[in-house]
Amino acid sequence: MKKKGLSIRGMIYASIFGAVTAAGAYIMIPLPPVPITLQTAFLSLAAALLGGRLGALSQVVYLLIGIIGFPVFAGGKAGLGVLLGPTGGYLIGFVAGAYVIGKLVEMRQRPGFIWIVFSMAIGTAVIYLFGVTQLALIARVSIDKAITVGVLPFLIGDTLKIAVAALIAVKIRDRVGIVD
Amino acid sequence: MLQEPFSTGNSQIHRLDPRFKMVLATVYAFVVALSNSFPALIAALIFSFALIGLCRLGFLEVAKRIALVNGFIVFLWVVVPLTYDGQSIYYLGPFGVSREGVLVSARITLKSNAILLAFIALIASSTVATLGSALSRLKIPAKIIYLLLLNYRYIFVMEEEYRRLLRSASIRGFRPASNLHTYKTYAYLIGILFVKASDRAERVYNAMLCRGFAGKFYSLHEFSFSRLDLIWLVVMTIVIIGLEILEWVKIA
Repeated sequence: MKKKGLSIRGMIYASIFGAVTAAGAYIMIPLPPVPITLQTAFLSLAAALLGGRLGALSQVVYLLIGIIGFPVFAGGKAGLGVLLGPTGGYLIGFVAGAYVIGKLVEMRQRPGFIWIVFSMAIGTAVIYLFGVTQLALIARVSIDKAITVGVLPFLIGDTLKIAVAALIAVKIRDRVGIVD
Repeated sequence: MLQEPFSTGNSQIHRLDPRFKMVLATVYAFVVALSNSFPALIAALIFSFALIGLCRLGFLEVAKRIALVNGFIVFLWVVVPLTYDGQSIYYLGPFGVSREGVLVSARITLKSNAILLAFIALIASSTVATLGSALSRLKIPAKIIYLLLLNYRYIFVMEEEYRRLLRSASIRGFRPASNLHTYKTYAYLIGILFVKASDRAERVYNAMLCRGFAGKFYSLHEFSFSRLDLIWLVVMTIVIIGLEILEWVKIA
């Protein structure tokens, strides 16, 4: 969780953590009654461990590989069409959300569980902000309706994912991250 | 497992210059995304299907991709017509189905599918490694391309790493259920995955230093703009102008 410029090492970390996020779209946890994917949890973890700049970069590269056609968006989707479609705002929000989470975590020398949860909650809100805005614009529905369709069904799952991701971040932060 | 099922083939579209295909796909996607008239959107969808046909791609694999994208669109079809303001054309109990809501849902469906199909035909018909080289020739910043290629290289590795961890857990008798033990096991798996990702990043960095990596990847791909590309440039230009005319006719 140290701040670094875009060195070769930084590039490699951003690429590999972006790859983990992409793999996260394929990892389905078969929890009854509804299986869940871990993409947002992976994004939050990558941002908390890499910091704002590299965390955001890991998501930029994840988006790029999805845009050029590799099926890494949730459920195996790919292409610019997904980004320009009703759910594309969430993906664009990944970059801003990761940056916010990373920057907030970087603000504390050794952030505790509560601060990391707070950072991830704010980052998730940023993702929702982008997602709901694009959903409302593309589907031409009011913000209220966009929130009903695009936020409320996912709130409980995302709250759980944030709690788990923050716990993992606290446990592994001394083992993971860029050390020059 | 992650695959590139559309990248192999010998169709005309597979043989086009990847740089040209990327530019075409991007321009076409924006034209379709900005279109609103039904004649233009239906024409775009038909043309996108024609591209898929010319590419001679596996029907089942394409259908699977289409089904994935349409999952959320089905959700929109359930919600938007019932909640959109406007003239009701049908009543489902106390709820009116709005005409405007149906039109919005139909536009989203046509646009999303037309763009998706065109991207499968034009972009997914090349390997990611080829597209990386093509992006480089299109003067995209080198660092972005390195990030892209490294990312592509390690998606497979990290996915396989996760599968290995999961297999280990299964062999030890782990069966997922809705209980605290399951949540803790998955949390450990994710934690280990990130630790392994970090270790791997460090190893890759050291390996690159050992090989004298100086910030430049070399590519053996050679691209040339052929007569076939020229023919397709004309075809796509006519199609895009045609779509714009259909859009304009509607406005007039």
